[in-house]
Amino acid sequence: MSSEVVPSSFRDPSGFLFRRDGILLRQINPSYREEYELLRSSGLYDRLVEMHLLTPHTEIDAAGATDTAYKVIQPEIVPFISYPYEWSFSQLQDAALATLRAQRQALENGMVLKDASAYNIQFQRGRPLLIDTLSFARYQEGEPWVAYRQFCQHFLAPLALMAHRDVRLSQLLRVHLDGIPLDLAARTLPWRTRLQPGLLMHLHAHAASQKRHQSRRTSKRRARVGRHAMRGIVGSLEGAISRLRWRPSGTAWADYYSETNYSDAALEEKRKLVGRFLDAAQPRSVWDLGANTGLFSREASQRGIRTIAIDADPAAVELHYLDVRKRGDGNILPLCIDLTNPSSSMGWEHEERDSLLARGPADCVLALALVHHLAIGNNVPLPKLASFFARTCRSLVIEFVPKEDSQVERMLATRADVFPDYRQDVFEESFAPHFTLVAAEKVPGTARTLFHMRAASCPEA
Amino acid sequence: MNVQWVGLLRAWPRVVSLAAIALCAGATNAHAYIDPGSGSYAIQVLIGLVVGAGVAVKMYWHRITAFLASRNAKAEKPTNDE
Repeated sequence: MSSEVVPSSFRDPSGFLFRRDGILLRQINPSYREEYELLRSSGLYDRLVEMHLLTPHTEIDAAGATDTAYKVIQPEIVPFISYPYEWSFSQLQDAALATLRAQRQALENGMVLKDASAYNIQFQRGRPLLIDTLSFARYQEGEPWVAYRQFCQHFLAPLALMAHRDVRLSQLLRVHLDGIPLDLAARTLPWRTRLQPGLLMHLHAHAASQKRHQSRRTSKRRARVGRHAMRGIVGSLEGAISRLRWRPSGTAWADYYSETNYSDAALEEKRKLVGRFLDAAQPRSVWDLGANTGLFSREASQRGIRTIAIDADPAAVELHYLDVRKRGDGNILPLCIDLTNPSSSMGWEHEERDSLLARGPADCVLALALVHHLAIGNNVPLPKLASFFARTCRSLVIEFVPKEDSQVERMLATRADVFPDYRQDVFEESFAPHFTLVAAEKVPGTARTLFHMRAASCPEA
Repeated sequence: MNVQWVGLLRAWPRVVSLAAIALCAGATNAHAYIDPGSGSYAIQVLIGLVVGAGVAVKMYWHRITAFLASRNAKAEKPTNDE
């Protein structure tokens, strides 16, 4: 029996995550005993699970945990961990509202969220879910909300910046792992945001209060916030978050499908071809790289395959998420990741947040209409592309877009063609050392070819 | 009478918002060490006063209106008797 502690789980004295024989478990320390018992006896756990706000768990035999374990629980597995800096605007907004609903319910049951980190939320079956069972503490009448600052930094500040300044500012979360400092957000936001009561109070005045108190200390005991006030703060945060809006418009990518040279018939043929290759590969998980708004992600999703739909464009990912949410498609998780600079390993000892590749490999990667963007748009030689894909998947469905294609012609219209090796024969030679060819078919009505390949040495999950 | 009370209660958010704006005027970049806990606790007390009053009013609204209505009724009664 082998046990290892999950590297990102070390801050909370209430317990930690570890793997026993590959199964993810959570140890609860004796210091959290009273709170855990209250979580169960108050009915809060059952209520939150019923509301799809908290990941369910089962209590199991404590063998393999440390001697000091009070209990060991086995939480339901989240198949793919994603991070707030990979979420679209509405994903972060939904995660924020889920956190506040959990806090509101906790107050009803005499408890409070002691931790409001965006990293405690994961998307499970398309919905945001609190994954940290140990985030709840007994509510002491009069005590301020200890996680208020964290909530504002992790959710309110990035959402306000995305809505009122620029949606790309979500990437500040990659630099500030404990959320965007409020003074930075306050300085970056337009002045007009002070006219919105929610942002004025929770962000601007909050930042100013932090500044005023930097050399003074206000203890929790002196600062009293009554029960009504606490509810009011949660309600006011809900209002402030809900009122933030960002709607994608005018980006090159959001209109991509309507601007391609694909005819409806060619698109339909390509869809069928992708479906056939997926049926042959029989994957349990798919990463659709360069997914745009998810036309082909749906091919995987309709087959009941868990699909991570990755695109670099925040507008495309937002539109995709809104569509997935509207259709109630729990198999697809759209994420905003730039493959030319994908999420890296970050945090303490580079182990708190995993890189994209560390969260793989996927059973199957779809790389449709992607190669030319990486090879010509980003100057990545084909052999380097092949070695990258070999690290991401066990099987690959990839489209080669030749120079005769109007999309590539358009890309080369404004620059010198310094890509003499961008040819289908070189593409096939480059992928041969890493992949075995399963099938290759022309996409009818286009100059493109779709390949189905199997990784020569399947990377282990 | 009740109209005055309601007007005052409705004006509260605006009054405190103005106070908060005044606070914000002093917000500058914080290069020094910040203890976000203290500032965050302090602002919660202030915000709690504003929004908590709203919650309390909402919860007890019927009682407040009933109380004010009964007071008005009492005040009007003597004139009816004359």
